[in-house]
Amino acid sequence: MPQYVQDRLNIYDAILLLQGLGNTILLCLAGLGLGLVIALFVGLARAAHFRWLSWPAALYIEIIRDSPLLMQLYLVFFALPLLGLNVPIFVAGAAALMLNSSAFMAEIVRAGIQAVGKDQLDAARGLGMGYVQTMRHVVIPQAFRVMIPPGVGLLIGLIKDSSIVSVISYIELTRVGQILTEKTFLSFQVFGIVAALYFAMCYPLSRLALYAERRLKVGG
Amino acid sequence: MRTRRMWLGLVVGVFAASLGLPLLGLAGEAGPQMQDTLNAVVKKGELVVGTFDFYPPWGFRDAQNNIVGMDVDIAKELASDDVLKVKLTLVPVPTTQDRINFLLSGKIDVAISNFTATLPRSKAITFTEPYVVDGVGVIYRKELKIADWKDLNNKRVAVTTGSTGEILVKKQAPQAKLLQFDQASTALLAVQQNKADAQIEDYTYTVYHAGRDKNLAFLNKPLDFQPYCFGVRKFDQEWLNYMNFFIYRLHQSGKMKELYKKWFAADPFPISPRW
Amino acid sequence: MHGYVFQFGEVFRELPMLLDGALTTLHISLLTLLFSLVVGTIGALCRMSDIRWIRVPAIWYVEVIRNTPLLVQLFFIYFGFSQINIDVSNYTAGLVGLVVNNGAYLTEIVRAGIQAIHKGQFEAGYSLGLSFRQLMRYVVFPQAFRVVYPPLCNQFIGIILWSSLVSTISVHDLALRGKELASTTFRSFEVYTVLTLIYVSITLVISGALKLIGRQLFRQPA
Repeated sequence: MPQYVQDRLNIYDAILLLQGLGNTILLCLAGLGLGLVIALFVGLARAAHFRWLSWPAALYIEIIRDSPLLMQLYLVFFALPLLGLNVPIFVAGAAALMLNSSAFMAEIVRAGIQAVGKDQLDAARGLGMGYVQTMRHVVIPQAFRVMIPPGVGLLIGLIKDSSIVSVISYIELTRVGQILTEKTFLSFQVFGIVAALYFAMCYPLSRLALYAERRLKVGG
Repeated sequence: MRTRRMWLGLVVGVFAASLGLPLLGLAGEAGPQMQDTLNAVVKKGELVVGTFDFYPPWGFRDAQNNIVGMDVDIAKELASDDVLKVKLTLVPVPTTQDRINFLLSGKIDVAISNFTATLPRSKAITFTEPYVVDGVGVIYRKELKIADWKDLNNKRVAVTTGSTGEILVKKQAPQAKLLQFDQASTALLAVQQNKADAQIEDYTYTVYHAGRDKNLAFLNKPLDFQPYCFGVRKFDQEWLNYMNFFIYRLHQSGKMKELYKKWFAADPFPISPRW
Repeated sequence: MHGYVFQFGEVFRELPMLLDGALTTLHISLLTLLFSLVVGTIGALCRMSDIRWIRVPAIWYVEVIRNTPLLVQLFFIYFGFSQINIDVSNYTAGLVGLVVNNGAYLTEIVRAGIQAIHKGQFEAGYSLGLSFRQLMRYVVFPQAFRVVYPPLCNQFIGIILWSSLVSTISVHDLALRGKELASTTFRSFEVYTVLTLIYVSITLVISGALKLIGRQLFRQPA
């Protein structure tokens, strides 16, 4: 009978690892992109002065922040088919990441908006600017500067969170680590390499966040 | 003060919502929804089959990381069959439970992954006729003397969560100390590392792995019989008929025996024993 | 989806089994908090040391842990123990993984707490004749604790939520009990909805309680 015994990693394993890496990046981009859009709306709602806007937004943010990502992933994975959406695994994973990151990003957006001092808003109002103009020219540019360091931190968190999508068998980096370990039982080597790859993605970003925080320190 | 009220309201709201949920469980069962996977597969020109990628020799990864195995060979036969002649896409299913989940959510068209037909599982999906009959075997460390189920009492037994072996060992050897794992390969590793004394798995699995490892032995008589069937969705009559006919032809033409001999170097167990 | 009928009753029948898993979750979370506080304090002291071969490894420990996923760390430790043939239970492996992970974050939290104390306090304390131990006990620790308390509470909530990952290495916590229930009842959506609600309830209750405790502990005299 054909016997496949493998006691060291080979070039095909390296290729699979790179594929996993690529899939992780895809997953993060998808989760980040749409998550950002949702976060903008939710964050603006949260910072609004109308209770019927800020309280539902607060509820959404709170429930997502107070439940494990693993549960959210399973919920999305099982809920989508019930809504008639038989989507590929990638979409389910990306949707869960998107929902999760949107809540944390919304808080960052809210903090950014509220960091712009009241005097700025008063000045803009005094100059005759409407709400949208104030947002566009005064609030958002300044809020943006405040949002970048925690935003980069969130991206690092997103890259790490994408490892959880391995439980629904999407072939991202952690899942590749599991596959290779099942095949070769060389878990130290395999997961060591996997950890190193995640580190290579996240560490530069964390240095960037520190640098950004230093550079973008808003005076006063 | 206002924030505290908001939190109180939130906690109360969450509790109230969770108490109201049982009310959603009062109605009866849903009516049937007819499926037509056969035509869907022919139309899209692609057959999506769910197999394992960690369970030699039925479905596992070779050195090139392709998914190979007995079930994979059968899936290839199915896709290249006269009627279908479509592209084969293999979807690796991570756990035993996910075979059902992936079927129900439409991520695969058929599950060919040493799927044992049981009544509880039949509540959720439909099984075809058996294509292979396997037994439940025990793989154990050579120094122990295991001759029957009762010898497993007070031993550390590794099982896979949700598998038929797990249910059997709970009934047959209630004093056994169960170690549950997500996948059979991790359970096997536990035995190899002496974290467990024995593993309950399908007979063919125990034969294959005991043959690879000098420290392990397998129990020579399978203790139960397990029919492996394809898994398909419920209310999918044409697809079910077609699968059954395919399995029949696979046996008739001798192809099944040929594949079995390729992977197990032995003759398959008879599907319908002669009385 | 039309035709699917929600059956939450099946889940609620098994609530005691789920709550038993919740106890395991809380149990492992508390142990993680305690051990990682120890690790974090040691790490913070190393991190602030003047001796290079103590400080640099501490820095690397924090950076490596904070830039790699918890799941990978858990697998590394769990399967790694197997590979080098150390016999630990799943619970122990999960606990070690969680402690190593949270120890890094707590290192930074404790360090911030200690460094928040103005240098002048140390000088004043020494000039008053306090020994190092007295200084730590009466000056540093109370003030550091006040600074550290909010992020520590946050971290504890995080521990409870992220402890759900130990279910992937077969520790019988709330998440794994839910998974088992889903595989026997085939009511996955209902099961995970209830699980999420249980986690949210636990989190809200604990964070509310911690906030109340904090308010009592750090009550400023009028």
